[in-house]
Amino acid sequence: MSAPHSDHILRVMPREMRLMSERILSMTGQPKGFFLALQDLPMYSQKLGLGGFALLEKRFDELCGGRPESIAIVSEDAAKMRLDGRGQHAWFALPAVIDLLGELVSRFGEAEIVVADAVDLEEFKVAEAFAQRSGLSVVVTIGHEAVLRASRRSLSGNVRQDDPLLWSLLEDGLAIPGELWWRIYHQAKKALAADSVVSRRHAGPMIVNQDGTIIGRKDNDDETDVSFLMAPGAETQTESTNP
Amino acid sequence: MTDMTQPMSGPGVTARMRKASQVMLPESLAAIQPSRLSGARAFMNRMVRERWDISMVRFDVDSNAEGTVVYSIKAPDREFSFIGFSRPPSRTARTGRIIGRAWDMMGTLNEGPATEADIESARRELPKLYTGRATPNALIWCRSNRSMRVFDQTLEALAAGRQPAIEDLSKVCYLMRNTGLDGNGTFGTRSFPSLGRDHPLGGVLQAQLLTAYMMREYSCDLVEHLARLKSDKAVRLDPSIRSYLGVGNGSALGLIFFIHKHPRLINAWIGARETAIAKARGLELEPADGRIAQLVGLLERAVTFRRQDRMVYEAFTSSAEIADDLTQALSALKAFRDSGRMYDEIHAAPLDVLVSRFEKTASPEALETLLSLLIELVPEDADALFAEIDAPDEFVVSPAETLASLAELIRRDYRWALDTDMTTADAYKYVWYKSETAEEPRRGAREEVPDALDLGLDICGGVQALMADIEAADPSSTVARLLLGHPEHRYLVARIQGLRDEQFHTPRANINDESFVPIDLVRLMNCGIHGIDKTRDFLNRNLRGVLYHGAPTPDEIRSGTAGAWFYPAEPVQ
Repeated sequence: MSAPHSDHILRVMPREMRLMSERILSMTGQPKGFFLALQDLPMYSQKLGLGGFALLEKRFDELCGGRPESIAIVSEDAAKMRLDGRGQHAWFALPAVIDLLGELVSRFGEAEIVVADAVDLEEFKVAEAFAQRSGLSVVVTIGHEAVLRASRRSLSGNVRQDDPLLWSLLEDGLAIPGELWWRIYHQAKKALAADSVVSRRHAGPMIVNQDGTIIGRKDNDDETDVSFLMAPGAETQTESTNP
Repeated sequence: MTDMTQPMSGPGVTARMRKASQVMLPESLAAIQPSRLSGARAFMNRMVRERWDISMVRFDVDSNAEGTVVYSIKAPDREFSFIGFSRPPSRTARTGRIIGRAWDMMGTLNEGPATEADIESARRELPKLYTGRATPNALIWCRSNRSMRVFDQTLEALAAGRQPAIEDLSKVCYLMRNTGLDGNGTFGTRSFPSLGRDHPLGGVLQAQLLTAYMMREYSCDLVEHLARLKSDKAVRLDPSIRSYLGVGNGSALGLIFFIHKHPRLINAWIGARETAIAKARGLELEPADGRIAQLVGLLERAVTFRRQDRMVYEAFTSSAEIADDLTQALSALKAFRDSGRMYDEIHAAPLDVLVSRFEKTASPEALETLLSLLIELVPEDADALFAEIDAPDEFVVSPAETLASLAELIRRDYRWALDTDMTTADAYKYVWYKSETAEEPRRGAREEVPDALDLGLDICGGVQALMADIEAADPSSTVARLLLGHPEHRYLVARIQGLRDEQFHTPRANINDESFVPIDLVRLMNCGIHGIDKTRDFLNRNLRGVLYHGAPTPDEIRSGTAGAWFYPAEPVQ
């Protein structure tokens, strides 16, 4: 394959950023129902000039050992709450914090949550943009703890108004240094299953056995190169064989 | 996912909507047939209605099929361009699967007229695929391959000054087959949600479907062009044959991921279809009503189409059987036209009686064909329903909902998932994954790919685990507090809450189970939603079919004169 233009600034779209985040997060060992809900956070972080994809790369090992279920409420007084982050990464705490802000706002009209002992506290700033789609206006103050104050925000059902940061990303994408993006791309590829002759039998209109015999109809109009499906090793990248 | 038995609200809906428990079974979804609400048909109808102007700008292709083509596509308020690069067919690494690496055409659909910079960028970047970058005005990157045998037969015939034999063409009904349509942000293409609903291609799948149509046009132009280069005696394709030829399409397992990732879209589309069907069934029609004659004509067209179908199907109902069933419906309808009685009954809504009787005797595909044809009787309603399909993908948690309320919602809408036995040996037999090679979606026995991450959505197992944790918690507690301690349920809770009160979003199946037939949902997407005809099945997991079978030519679109074009009869030679 051709070497990507690593020295360029690339325009990367949300679909790609979400896919790469999802794949990398899938390798942390966290439950699927959890990491699927985190796929927007590196993208929002990048857009806001916070840690972004470089942070995802840097913190990957810590995320693998994360225990988001250990985050706990340590005190609660009407609309005010204090959470112990138990050393978890801010991205792992953030969805739960937004939920709790939402619950408190629905009851009291406003809410304040202080989070202590979380990694990369400044990443809680993502909540200012990310919580908008949940109908919350959030202001985040970062000191030795993160303080998130929320009030109700009306939703229109229109992404442009309800989630302006996402709308901006959908319209224009995000300028990301090529070198960083292609590192992320290759890390994410590790989440995909290794190719093999056996695996290649798990898709397609026919199955090619090791001896070259075929299971299935041959009238698929593909003009399939059977030797290609039987080759023990396959290219891990795909690009045209045409000149 | 309430299981509605009452009429849907809205003017004109007087017959019953079908229940989700009936519609959302995989085998029922598999039987859905193309209709006015299918993407290709809806988009073609729009192009004809708005008289889009499609023209060839450049066709610099040599006798070896090497070269560059450019088309202009003018919608009422803006212009698009299709830039394609023709390549001589290569037998090496050729396959219809996504892992193939030999393509006879690679192209891009762009906003605006093609510039030299656009052409050169596409020429440089398209072959790189996953490591290439689209220009900011690119909507779709695409690839297609010839049907070698039929393309060559057609080329030889045209070069010899004659038309290709219909019996050859009708074995596949296309010259080239789509082998990849990528957009919505892939490779840096534009995000579709940002196009907005006023954009000519802002509707569901419309950019992909315009590109597929351009593949059809390109394939016909290419074969005519190569014939001219080959012989002074060459003739052009007869217009009736040119319309008859569609563009081929192969689809497979990735569409199951699409269905699970876009439940709002699935719900909106199926809901629109079921609403249109209910409206049509409820029509109060006299025997002399023009819509009865229209339906007779449509049924006759469908019967002929099925009788002439030369495709071989593996597990699907044969076209001959479907034609026989449709003939029964046609007879009943003609009897009503002639006597005023439908199955010896006088009924204000005769089509409701027809459907009620037909569904007891006909094959599922024949029934769904009839229902698709009924939609043609309510065109304004159907087109308005299609235009309203809008489905953002994002889901958020409703954190203040009590667990008692969430439990009630789950028991009401996901009873089928709660009742699915996930303890059997076969319940998790298969895993859904993607290969590092071209990210091809695959499905295999777990023991054969022990390290693969399961990318499938385990609705049944997930709902059961969620319900167990809800039942172990204080029912007056909130969703926010449940998810604090059980973050593993976050995605599913947001999905369940976000789809509250909708009924057509999730196929009722455990996709990991031995008994699940993948092709059922592939077929829903291809036949029902995309509008692909003559879908041949392979190993219960792959489909080959024809898009734009019988679709108008650019001249007909430009003049706005195309009538009912689907279910084309074979051209007479």
